[in-house]
Amino acid sequence: MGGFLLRRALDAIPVLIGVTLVSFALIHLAPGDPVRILLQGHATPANVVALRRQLGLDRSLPEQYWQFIRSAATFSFGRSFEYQTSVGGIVAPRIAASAMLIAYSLLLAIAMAVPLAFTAALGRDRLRDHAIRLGTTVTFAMPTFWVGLVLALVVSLKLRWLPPSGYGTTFLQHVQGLTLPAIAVALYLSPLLIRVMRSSLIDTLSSEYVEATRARGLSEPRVLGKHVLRNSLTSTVTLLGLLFAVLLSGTVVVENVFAIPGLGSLLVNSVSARDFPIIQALTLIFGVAVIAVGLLADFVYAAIDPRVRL
Amino acid sequence: MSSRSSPYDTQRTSAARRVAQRLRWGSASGRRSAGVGLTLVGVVVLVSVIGHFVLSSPTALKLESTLAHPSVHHPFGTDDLGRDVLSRTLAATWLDLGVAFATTYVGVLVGVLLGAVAGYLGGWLERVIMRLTDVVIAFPFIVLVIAIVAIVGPGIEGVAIGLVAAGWAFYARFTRAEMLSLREREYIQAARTLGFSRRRIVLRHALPNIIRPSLTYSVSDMVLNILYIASLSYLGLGIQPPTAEWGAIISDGQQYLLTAWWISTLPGVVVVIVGVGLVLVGDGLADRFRVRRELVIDTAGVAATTQ
Amino acid sequence: MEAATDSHEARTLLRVRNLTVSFPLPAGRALAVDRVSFDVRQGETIGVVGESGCGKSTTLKTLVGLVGAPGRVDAGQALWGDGRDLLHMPRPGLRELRGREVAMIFQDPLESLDPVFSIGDQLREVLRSRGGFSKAAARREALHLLERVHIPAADRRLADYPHQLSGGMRQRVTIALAIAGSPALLLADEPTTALDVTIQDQILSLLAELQDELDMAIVLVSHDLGIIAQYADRVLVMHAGQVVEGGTASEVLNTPRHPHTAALLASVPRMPGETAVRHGI
Repeated sequence: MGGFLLRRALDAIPVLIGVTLVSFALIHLAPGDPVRILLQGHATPANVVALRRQLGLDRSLPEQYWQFIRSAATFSFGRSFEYQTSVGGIVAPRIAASAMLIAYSLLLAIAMAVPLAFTAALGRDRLRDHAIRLGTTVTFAMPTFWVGLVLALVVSLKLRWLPPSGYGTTFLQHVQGLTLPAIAVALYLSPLLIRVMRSSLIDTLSSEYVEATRARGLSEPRVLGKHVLRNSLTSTVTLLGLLFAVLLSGTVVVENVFAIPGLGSLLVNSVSARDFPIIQALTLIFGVAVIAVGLLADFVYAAIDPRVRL
Repeated sequence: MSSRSSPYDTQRTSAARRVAQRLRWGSASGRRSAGVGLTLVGVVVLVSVIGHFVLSSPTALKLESTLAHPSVHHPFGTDDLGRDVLSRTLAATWLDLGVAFATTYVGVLVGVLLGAVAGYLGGWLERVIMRLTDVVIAFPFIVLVIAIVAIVGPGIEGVAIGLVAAGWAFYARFTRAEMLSLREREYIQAARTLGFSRRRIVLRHALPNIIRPSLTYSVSDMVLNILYIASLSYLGLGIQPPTAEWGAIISDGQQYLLTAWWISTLPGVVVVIVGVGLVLVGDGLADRFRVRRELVIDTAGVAATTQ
Repeated sequence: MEAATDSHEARTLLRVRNLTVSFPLPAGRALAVDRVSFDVRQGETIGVVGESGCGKSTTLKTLVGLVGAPGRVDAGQALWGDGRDLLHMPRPGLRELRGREVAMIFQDPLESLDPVFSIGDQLREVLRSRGGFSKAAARREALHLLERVHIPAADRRLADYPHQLSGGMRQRVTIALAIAGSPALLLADEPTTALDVTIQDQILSLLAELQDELDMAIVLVSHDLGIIAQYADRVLVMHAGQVVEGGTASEVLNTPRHPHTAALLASVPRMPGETAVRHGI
C-alpha cells in the first residue's frame, strides 16, 4: 500500500511541473506585450522599459519561471494589473466561498445520486430504471448556467424562498446564497455519478459473493447496506477523484450566474480585464487542486480497499 | 499489456478501469435510442431551416414590440430590442452545432493522431505526448479553455482554439491504449513481416480499428462542447453580441428575468433537446459498436483509459 | 458416509418434486430445470453430475431462493422435512432457513467471499446475524469455526482478507461460514473445481469429516465422475435440465442405463469403476 501511494505521489510530480509551466507560459503566449496592456495609452518607451524591469520581464525565461515558482510558493503571485495589489491578497479571501460551494455541491450530488443509483440498479430494466436513465440524460444536456437562471427565476424571484444572488456575510447567509448554485452544480454532476454508480452496483449485485452472503442468511438490508454499498464505495471514490475537475468546471460557471465572490467569478472578470497575474495564479491553483484531490482519492481508495497492495 | 510497459500505465489503477467500463447504461434499448436521438436533432435542424424562411430575421429590430410575451407571432416572445427570440434561438442552432462539430472533430483528429503515434512508436515521443495529456487533463476543462481565451481574446476563435487545445487529450489517451493492445495483434504483426512501413501500418491497418471508440465517444463530447460554447458566450468570453448564440441570448435576457422570463428560459429548452438527441445517438452508437474498452467519464473533464 | 447409506431409516430431509425453472429467451423461455425430482435423506451425500449448463447449479440455487429475475420457478415443490415448501417461502422465512438449515458453498471461493471485509468480519457477521452472540463470543466462535475447518494459525487468519489466502484456505473459510449455523443440508456447487488436484481431496475429506460431525446431508454437484464415485452415496445424472438417471453410486456408475450416462463415463480418461466399487456399498 505504501509503495502504491509513493508511486502515485511520484507520478504526480511531473504533472505538477507541467501545470506550473502552463500557468507560467500564459503571460508569454498572449499576443502583444503585457507591459503595453498594463500601460494602455501611456506606453512611452521609457515607461515600458521601467515597468518591464519592475515586473522582471527583462530577465531570462528560466529566471522568470523561478521567480514565478517562488511567488507561487509564498502565495503572493506578484501584483495584479487591475488592482495593483498582491494577487495572493485578492485570491485568498475568495477561496472560502468557492470551497464551500464545492463541498455543498458535492454533498448534494451524492445525496441525489446514491438513492437514484440504488433505485435504478435494483429495478434494472424496469420502468423506474428507464425513468432515471431519461432523467440523467436530460439533466446531462442542460447548460448549468441555464439551470441556475431557471432556479433563480422560480425559487428566488417567484417563490421568494432564497436570495437570487450574493453570498452574504454570516454562515447562514452563505448557506442560503449557495443553495441554488449548489443545486445547479449538483444537477450537472449527478448524471455522471448516477450512471457510473448504477453499473457499479449492478456489477456488485450480480457478483457471487453477494449471492453467497444471501445464502448465509443475512438480511437484505444488511446485504445491500453493508456488502453492496461498501464494495461500490471503492469505485465511487475513484470516480469522485476523477470527477473533481468536472465539479470545478461547474462551480466556475455557476459562481458567475449567482455573483458568488469566489475564484471562478474572479477568473472570468480577470479575463475581461486581461489581468494576467490573476489568471496565472488561478490556473495554477485549479490545476494543483485537481492533482491534490486526485492523490487524496488514491489515498482513500488505498485505505478502504484491502486489495491495494501494489 | 504490451511487452514495453511505460510509467503511464501505472497511472490508471484497476479501479479506474472498472469505473470506465461502467459508463454505459448498456440496456437493450440502445438501438432504438439512436433513432430517437437523430429524430430530435433532425427536428430542431428542420425547424430552424423552416424558421429561417417563416420567422422574422434574427437581427431585425422591432422597437415597437420589445419584451413581448410569447404569442403566435413570436412563439418565444421578443427581447429588449424587439428581436424574435425563437428566430434567434434557431439561427444559433447552426452556429452552435457547427462550432461544436468542428472543434470536436479537429480535437478527435489531433488526439487520435498523437495517440496512435505515441502508442505505436513509443520511446521519448510517447513519454512527451502522454505527459502532455496528463497536464491538460489536470486542469478543470473550462479553466483551461478560459485561460486560452485570455490569450487569444474573447470571441469565436478563442473558444474554438481553447476547446480543441483542451479536448484532444482524451482521444490521445484512448487511442494510445487501443494502439498498445492492437500492436500485439496478429494482423499487425503480419503486416510487419510483409515489410510494410510503420507509417503505412499505422495509417492503413491500425487506425480504422482504434478510431472506433473515439468516434463513439465524440458524439457525447459534442454535447459537452455545445454546453461549453454556450457557457463561455454566456460569460461574455465567447461569441459576442449581436450574433445569435444560445448562451449569449440567455445572457442578454438575464436582466429581464423577472419581467420577460422567456428570453432566458425558452432558448435553453432547445439546447436541451439538441443535447438529449446527441446523447441518445452516442448511446446508440456505443451499443452498436459494442465499445467495451471505453473510457471515461469525461463528461467534461476526465478520461481514464481502460488500459 | 457409508454409514448413512446403510441407515435405511434415515429421516428424509427434503423432497423435491417436479422442480421446473425457466429463463427467458428472445423468443419464448428456456427450461433450465425440467421436472426434476429427488429426495435427500439426513446425513447422506447425493452426487449430481452432468456437463456444464445442464441445470445442476440452477437446481441448487433454486433451493435457497437464489434464482432471481429473469429466472422463474414455473412449477414444483421442495418440501422440507417439516412440510415447508422452500420454493414458496416468504422472505423472512427464507432467511431463517438459509444458513441454519440449508447452506451453500460455491465453485470459486474467491468470488464467494466479500473482498473488502476480513475473514473474521464475515464470520462474526454471520454468527451475530443469528443472534445470541456477544462480540467476544462471536470472536471466539469464529476462531473455533476456523479451527474446525483445519485452518492453521487460525487466530492470525481472522484479520486476513480473502485475497491474502490460498484457494484451498479460502474454500475452507467458505465452509466455515456455511457450517456456522450447523445446517442439516449443505449444497456444494462444484466446490473443488477451481482448486488444484491435491487440494481437492483435502477439501472433500474435510466435507466428509464435517458431515459425520454434524450428521449433515450434502448435495455435491460436480462434473468430475471420479469425485462423485468416491464421495457420493447416491447419484443423479442430469442432462438438458432433466434427471436422466438416478440410483446408488455403484449402480449408476458401473451399469449405466441411460446412453447419456454412458457417454459421460466414456469421456472420463480412466474408468472410475473400481473406485465406485470400493466406496459404493
